[in-house]
Amino acid sequence: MTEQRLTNLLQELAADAEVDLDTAADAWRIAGERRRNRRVTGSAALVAACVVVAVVAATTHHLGHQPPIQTAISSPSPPAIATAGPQLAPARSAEPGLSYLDSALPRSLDTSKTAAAALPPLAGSPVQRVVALAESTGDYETPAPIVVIGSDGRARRMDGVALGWVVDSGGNRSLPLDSGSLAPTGVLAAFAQKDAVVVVDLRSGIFSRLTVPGYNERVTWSPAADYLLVSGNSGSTLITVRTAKTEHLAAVDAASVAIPLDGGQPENLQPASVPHIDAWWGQAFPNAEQVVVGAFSAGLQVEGAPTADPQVLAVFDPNQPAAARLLAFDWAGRYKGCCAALGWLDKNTVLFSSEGGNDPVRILAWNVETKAVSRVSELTSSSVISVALQ
Amino acid sequence: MRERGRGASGDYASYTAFVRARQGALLRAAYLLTGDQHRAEDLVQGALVKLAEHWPKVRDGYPEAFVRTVLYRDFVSWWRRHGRERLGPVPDAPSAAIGDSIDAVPDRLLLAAALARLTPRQRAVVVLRFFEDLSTAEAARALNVSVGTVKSQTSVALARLRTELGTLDVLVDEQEER
Repeated sequence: MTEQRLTNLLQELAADAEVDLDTAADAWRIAGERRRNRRVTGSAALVAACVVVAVVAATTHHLGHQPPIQTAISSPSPPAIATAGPQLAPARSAEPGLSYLDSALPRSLDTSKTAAAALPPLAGSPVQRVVALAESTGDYETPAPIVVIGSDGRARRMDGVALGWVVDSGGNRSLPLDSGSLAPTGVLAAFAQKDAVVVVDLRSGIFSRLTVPGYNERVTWSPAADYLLVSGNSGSTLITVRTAKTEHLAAVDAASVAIPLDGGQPENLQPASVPHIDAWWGQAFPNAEQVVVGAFSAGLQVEGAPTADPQVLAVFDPNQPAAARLLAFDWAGRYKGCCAALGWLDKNTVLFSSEGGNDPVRILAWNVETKAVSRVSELTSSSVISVALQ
Repeated sequence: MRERGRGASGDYASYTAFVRARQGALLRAAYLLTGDQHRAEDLVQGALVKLAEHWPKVRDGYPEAFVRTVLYRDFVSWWRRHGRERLGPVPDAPSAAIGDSIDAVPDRLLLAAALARLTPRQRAVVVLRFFEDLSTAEAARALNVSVGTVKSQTSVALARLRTELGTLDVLVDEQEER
């Protein structure tokens, strides 16, 4: 195929677009409304900032109360993964027939804005530990309430913390909740905000607002929750939780996949290190020995899959990425970016989300040793979810 | 010398004139990027809103480059920020039934299916380079990436398209022989 042929085909395809629209008046009107809203919001934000400044000094020391957890991820380890061909995941249409793997998550979770708003506030229903946070991704003027699932299986809504959209200079916005927001210990949660990260102790509701310049959109905890990596377009900031010390890392941004290790330095995972991986998708989640992360593949044919280059879930030791194990998702009935890693259920079982068509979002589990794929939970509303079930 | 409108009414008139002249081309590009008419309209609408917000500053500069940059960066960053793409399922590669003529599946549908299998950034460089006919440097500026990234993404994208459109090469060869 010549490049000229490609150009001709693109022109033919583009001719299918309907262009008989008049959008100028609406766009001008919406722009005017945004300007008016920003003038109102700016005043409110200044008041909120004054309130939280007093909290930071008093609460920073609360972030240090975490029992140390030994991890070995930064140490070389003998091969724990045998090289094997990719495993084909059950078809999207077959997921309703998968058996359930019981966990602290309810089998069905209503995270819609209406349902979340009706939940009891966290302040009135304290938790010892949280297993999941979820937030509906509907196109609301203000973010939907964050649903908090305690280790007791009961749902609350987060209250007492003002969290807004992160809106950049171009008007793009992202939710405060990220799939990496809930610390693996289930006690702390971090929410990316513009020029800040808000860290909440979910047991007490006490929060700290730490200055992190930029349009922040991703947060990643180290396995023992001693370090927090906050990423945006212009790099990342590594925060030492006990001291609130910060370190800017220009080479690691929100498009990278980096895991803060408990020694403090992030491991920046390179797609090229894992065979047949073209680009990462979503966050990476480490356990003591391995990492799980979603990805797009290239040049990958999976036995039994009707199409090439499926999306995959990759599980590997960062010291031996060539020996990665892959779970492949056939395209049928699935969105691009359908399947993102969510974390670990136990040392051999990873959790991931599955989306597609009009079916609910499902949280599924993959045991990399037994190869079993199971259902864990279903969300009634399209949502971001962050889990700490291990 | 360009005549300047006065105040808000002048801005609105010049903005409207610019949008009416350019929105067709923007919609076509957005359609190639998203593969869906409704998503394309949303993407263009979002870009035009931002253009309107900045119009007093850009109207006498390079509004064309501004709105193109917004469109393509919105497309790539929307994907990353929202974490999911609200298209329908990726279409299966169209295939002609046995016995159908080679014209049974329009080439452009084969291309649409192949484009849908590219990553967002790969799609963006393909549309910028081969539909909008921008240079490597111009495409890099539009996407806020390095020239090296544009080159490497173009190379990967073309390789994938050639793999996906292998049938198309046969069609081209047969047509050229006639």
